[in-house]
Amino acid sequence: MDFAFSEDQLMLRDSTRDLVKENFALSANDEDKDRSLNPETLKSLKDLGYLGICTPNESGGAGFDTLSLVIVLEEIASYDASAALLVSGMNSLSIGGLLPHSDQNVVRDYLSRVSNGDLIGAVAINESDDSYSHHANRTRASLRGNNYVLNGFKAHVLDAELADFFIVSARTGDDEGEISLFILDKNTPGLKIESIPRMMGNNAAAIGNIRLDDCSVPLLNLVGKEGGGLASAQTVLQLNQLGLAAIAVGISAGSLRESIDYSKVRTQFDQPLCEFEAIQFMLADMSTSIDAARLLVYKAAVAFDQHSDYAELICAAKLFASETAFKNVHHANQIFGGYGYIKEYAVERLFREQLFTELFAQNNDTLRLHISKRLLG
Amino acid sequence: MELRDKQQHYRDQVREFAVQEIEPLARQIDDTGEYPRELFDKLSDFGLFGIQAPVEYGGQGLDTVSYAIAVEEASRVCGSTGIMVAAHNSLGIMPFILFGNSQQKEQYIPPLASGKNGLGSFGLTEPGAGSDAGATKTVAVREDSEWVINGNKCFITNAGMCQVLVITAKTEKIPGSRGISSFIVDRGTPGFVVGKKEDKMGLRGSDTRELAFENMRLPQEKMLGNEGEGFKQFMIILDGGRISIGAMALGLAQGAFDYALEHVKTSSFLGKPKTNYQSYQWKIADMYTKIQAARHLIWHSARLEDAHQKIVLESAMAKLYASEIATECVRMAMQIVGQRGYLEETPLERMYRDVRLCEVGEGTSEIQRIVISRNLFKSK
Ligand SMILES: Cc1cc2nc3c(=O)[nH]c(=O)nc-3n(C[C@H](O)[C@H](O)[C@H](O)COP(=O)(O)OP(=O)(O)OC[C@H]3O[C@@H](n4cnc5c(N)ncnc54)[C@H](O)[C@@H]3O)c2cc1C
Repeated sequence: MDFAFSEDQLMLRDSTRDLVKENFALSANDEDKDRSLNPETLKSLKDLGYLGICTPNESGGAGFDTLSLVIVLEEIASYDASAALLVSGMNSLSIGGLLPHSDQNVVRDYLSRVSNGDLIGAVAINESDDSYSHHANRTRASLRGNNYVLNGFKAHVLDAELADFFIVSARTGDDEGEISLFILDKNTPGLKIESIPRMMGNNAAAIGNIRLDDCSVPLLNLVGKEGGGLASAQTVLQLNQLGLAAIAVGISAGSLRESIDYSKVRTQFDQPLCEFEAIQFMLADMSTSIDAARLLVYKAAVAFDQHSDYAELICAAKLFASETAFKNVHHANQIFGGYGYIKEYAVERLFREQLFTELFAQNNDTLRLHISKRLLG
Repeated sequence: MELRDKQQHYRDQVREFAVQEIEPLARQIDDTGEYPRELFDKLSDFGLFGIQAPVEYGGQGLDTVSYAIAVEEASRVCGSTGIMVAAHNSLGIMPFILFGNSQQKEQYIPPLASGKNGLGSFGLTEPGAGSDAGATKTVAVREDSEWVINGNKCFITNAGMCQVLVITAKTEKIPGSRGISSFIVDRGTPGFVVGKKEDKMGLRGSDTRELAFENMRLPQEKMLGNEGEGFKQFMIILDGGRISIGAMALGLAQGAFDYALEHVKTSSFLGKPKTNYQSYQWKIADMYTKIQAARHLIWHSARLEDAHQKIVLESAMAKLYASEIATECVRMAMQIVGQRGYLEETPLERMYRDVRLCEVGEGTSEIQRIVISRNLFKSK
């Protein structure tokens, strides 16, 4: 077992950390209020190749592995979780949805344009709150001449308002598992994006619902084979879960960083907060849980890269990282006292962002079901 | 846990009022950060601004149990209303009831108990004096027959809508928490500056502000109680305040529970009613158990208060426990409801942000633990 990062990974981590700290950190609170990413932040993510960080070089991406992706997501999320969600979503879409089908011309074209920052895509698979079986329950696609016609509804699509195109799942047969994936341009007639006014946090992730009303899609925009989209949809979901796990670690790490700094400068009862044992214990627990969660996330990422059995590990990583993240944002808010309740402070935002990692890409109780199902065979 | 008939009757009335009048506006209040005047007047007419104020001063003259019930019921539907009512009653009026001389009582309690011309506030916390409230830097210097006051306060609830507030200031240059006195500050007193409204995570309809005193001159009559007794006074005020923040947490927990219970009873998961699943059954059972335990603690300290017994230990335990289980309950409700809970369309999204304050305001959980353990070490 080798815990050391490669040279490339170390460089990537350090350069990402510098970038985020110097350029993203200050605007993260405003992004949440404005409900969109800072244009400069978005431009950096595109220009520096973060949106295609895992896409192989020959497909126009940066060619890093999944472990590198989670390292990057943690760094970004510790200052700007909404930006990290975009990076996570785009790489999940590319690696899970497009890459396996890049022998198709249309798919290859989208993949390279996503990777070089030309286009933003969003994954429109989820339809309900529970999303246990990520199947398309209500969205149907039927063949009419040279087109598929899609009807249905997609719920809580991340970056819906930012996206140039969507990967949409739809049933193409009677069987539950007969799912197909389609690429839909945002301007497809009949496609309507319904914005969601406000969420608790991560508002710059521009989440929305999507209504599909007789949307006509050329045959060439079918990703993979008709009825064969389930595996891709599943991989996209799993990568999103892994991404959320890494983002949860980032939120925790941000909370610890802010807490350490603040506890050294804030004094009460004539001593810095960090001299109270209660605060020291919080810091120790935070750091311990972050290391444990981080290792689990790394392990799941490496398993994905090595094509070994990763499904359960990814569930476990998201479950554990997101729940320990609650303890961490809670400690951080407690350490900041009344100031943690005020929007000027990053920990206020981190507190609201954390819950997202528990509830989205399947909530944690659903993950518990998946994990125990595998354990019990 | 039996309530007396009168208390039970009051509980039914407040519940009905809260559901009919406050609940429909709760989301708007959170969204806009504005408290609607019309609703404010209805709270006044219902008597929520003078719950424990004596009847002869225009109050309702109710006991502490009824007060805790009112705060719980208001908070169950709207945290912003809950803290507004709680801060006004236990921090705004209570200092006058407990420490005012008869002239001060006559002048201040009746208008405060109505609230129509503004609420009451309590200015204790300062940028450098939060948990360590005795470290107050605001100074009052005697000049001729007046006090000249300089300093800053922060996080003061209802400050933008107050007609009068009570503040603490150092009247004697001695180290530590001694030498602090309380003063009554009327709105509009020259040198009294009300700062901008804080932009908060939750309780966004509640008015929280910084204050500044710049050579503010007050006559001796504006001193509340005896000189040098400020610290002792606010410790007593905070003992009572803890019951109300506990009741506020309890209300938010109950609100989240009610929402989650309804959801479980009316939704299905993988084709079966959610009530069939142990994951939901367990959460519902745990939430209700914790909520009832918290209610026991809160009503117990309220009854002790009504019986004029010491409540330091009990109110600290009630506040600590209620605020911590309230956080847990709102989180369990979130797990039950799922993704939709994160969106603005559900009251849970608001409750999650509102409840965060309860573990911090009027003494953080850490301070409650200090109070509790100190009392236990002291007792034989
Ligand atoms: C919405 C809101 C409304 C409020 N309303 C009012 C009001 O109306 N009037 C008023 O006067 N104040 C009000 N407050 C202030 C509130 O009471 C303080 O925020 C609270 O007492 C904590 O003080 P602080 O924020 O300065 O935190 P700090 O005292 O700086 O505490 C920071 C952290 O250090 C911990 N800590 C401090 N001392 C110790 C110790 N000895 N041992 C271990 N840990 C310790 C704390 O528990 C906390 O975790 C309000 C605050 C908010 C957020």
